[in-house]
Amino acid sequence: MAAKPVIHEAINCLRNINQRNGFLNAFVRVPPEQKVTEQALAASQRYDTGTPLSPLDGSTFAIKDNICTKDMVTSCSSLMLADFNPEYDSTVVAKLKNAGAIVIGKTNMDEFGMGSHSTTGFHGSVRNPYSSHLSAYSAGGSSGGSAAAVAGSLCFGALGSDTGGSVRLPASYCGVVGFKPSYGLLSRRGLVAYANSLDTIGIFTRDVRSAQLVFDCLNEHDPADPSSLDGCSRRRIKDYVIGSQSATNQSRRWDIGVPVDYNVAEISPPLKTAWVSTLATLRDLGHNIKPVNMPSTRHAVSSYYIIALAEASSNLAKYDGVQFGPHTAATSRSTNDISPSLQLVAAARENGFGKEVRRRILLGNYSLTSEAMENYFIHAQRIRRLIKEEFDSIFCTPNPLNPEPERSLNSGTGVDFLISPVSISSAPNLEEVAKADGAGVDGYINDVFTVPASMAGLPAISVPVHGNGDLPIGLQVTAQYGDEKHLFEVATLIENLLEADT
Amino acid sequence: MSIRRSTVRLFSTAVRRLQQDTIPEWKPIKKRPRYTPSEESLAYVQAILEKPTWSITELLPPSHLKSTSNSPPLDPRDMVTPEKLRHLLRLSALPMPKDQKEEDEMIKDLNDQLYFVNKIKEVDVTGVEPLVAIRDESREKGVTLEDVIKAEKEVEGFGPMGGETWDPLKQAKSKLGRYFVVEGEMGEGPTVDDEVMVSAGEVKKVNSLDTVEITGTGTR
Repeated sequence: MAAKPVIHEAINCLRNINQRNGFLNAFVRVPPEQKVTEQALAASQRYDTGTPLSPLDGSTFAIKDNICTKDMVTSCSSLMLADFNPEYDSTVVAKLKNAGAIVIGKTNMDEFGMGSHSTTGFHGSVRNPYSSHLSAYSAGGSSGGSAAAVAGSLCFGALGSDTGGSVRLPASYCGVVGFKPSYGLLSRRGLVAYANSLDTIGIFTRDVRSAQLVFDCLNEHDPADPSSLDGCSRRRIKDYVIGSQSATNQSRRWDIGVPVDYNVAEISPPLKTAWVSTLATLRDLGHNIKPVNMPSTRHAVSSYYIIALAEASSNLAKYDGVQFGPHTAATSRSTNDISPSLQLVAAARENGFGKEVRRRILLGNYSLTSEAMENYFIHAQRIRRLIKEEFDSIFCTPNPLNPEPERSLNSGTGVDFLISPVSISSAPNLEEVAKADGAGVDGYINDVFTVPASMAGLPAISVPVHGNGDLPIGLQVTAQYGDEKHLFEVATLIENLLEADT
Repeated sequence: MSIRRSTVRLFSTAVRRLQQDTIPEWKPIKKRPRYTPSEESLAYVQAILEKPTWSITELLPPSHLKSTSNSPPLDPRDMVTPEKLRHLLRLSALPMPKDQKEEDEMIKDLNDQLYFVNKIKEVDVTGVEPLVAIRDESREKGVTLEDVIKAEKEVEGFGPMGGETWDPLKQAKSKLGRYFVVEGEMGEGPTVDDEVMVSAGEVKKVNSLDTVEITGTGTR
């Protein structure tokens, strides 16, 4: 077996972190360098003796700071968890370590994942590696630190979390591959919860092949995560994927859907050009390009925010300053009919949570109040069903999770994938972001392309495409539930539309 | 762990060499399209994407600069009043506004958010079953007592710590022996709010401090 230059790569990453992280602010915590080099050395020896633990042995990984790492603070970029030192590794981190991967640091993010530019955390803003000293660009959020670390060659790959686009958006802004798997495939044990029904672990790498390697390493049932699909369901999905598309050779002609409801007025001209020319090239290569209507797109983001924030407000209720977080001494006595102990909790939550988090908790609790529950939360869950059914009606393969998935209404008329933008433009300037940030909802509308796949639990990947400009542009490929295999195939196809410019 | 000499040597030379390198500014790997799309295909796709179908600024409240909304403003019945705001803050265990300005800001933020989420009311969902979670519905059947017992057995040993011993007190900033410390007034008994704060455990008193005993290390 050819020796892999793991030591060289690890040292390169350490050097890049030393030189560039001060500017990028991608990592918020790194282990001692010696620990990294020792692990690289051990991995190198395993390659020398022909006994590497896995294809990822010796590769360096950045871990988003909401994914628990044993004996390494996991802060979610929140003061509430600034000293939270988990007692165990999350399942995904443990799996990476077992495969020989080296954890090279924890990455910056929006506080508790609440943001689209990685600017709301107490560690400050992440800068896109494509920034210059003259103008700093957003790395996207909320997993911006992980995306910037991969893009800036500070590590081989990274883990993030994707609730409504938090992996795909930063990947598109930073010009790397960002993959959100089908809901329920990768274990979330040890991922600090944002919105349980939507949260997935996501993967950042520089190419599609690497993302697939990482996915294969992590894709296994975890009995300690109640949302993790068990072996029986996994086998069933596998049968479906293989059974429905037996002709899996490279020359397969795909039916590619263009969701016309993603064609919004705000899409920037370079992004539109990249979208059009990628689809046109795929058509030249023999694939069918078909327009598809997905009218529920217009209401997806509103219903997403109701569901996500209701679940978030419930998840964040446990942070009261007693078990975790800043301990606040009693200062004032009963005012506003509020007991001293509730005041203590409120004070701890005021000190521990940033403004955007508090704003989102309020809306989340609003939609859970008895008078709003039916009109907001339940109504949004009904729309969620419509969104999922709409996806099922356009894909030619049935959803393997449906009660009677054999029944496919659109074999022959449906599409295999959807190709759309990830965001309305390339990375915005951080100054523009700061100006717009005061307005809360202004940021919410940018999630319009990423939220539908999250609502339906579908796999989606952001792949960098040529954008003619200085800043990267990503296109999103979405597939039917569980069809990661073919999603990676078409993502590779898009990746191969580019070649190195020498 | 035994380390071969040659590997160590290789390793230290690598470190030395890299440390001496003068590092150029980071440059992204430049890429270019491998193919030029045909005029015919370009025209075909452009025809599909020629006209935008809608504008995302329609979702913004009319008061917003960029808004292109043509739906009516938020129904006054849905608007947040100062009383409602206080109620929500209390439910959220968040502090009350410090002054009128902060209160006005909070109400405006909430009303903006509500306008944005109220868009869902345009959709008729009569007869649609709520989608609560993504799960394998193909295997869904009623849950029997046997299923529960079996599942309980399977989960045993898979606590959040995988059966390891775990100290729930370790993360707390303020504690006394095996107790979390929650400061309160002298003589104040366990109130409803105390129960909100610490859901598991028995409340005891030590001097002027309300302390909560953790019953068993596995308490979550």
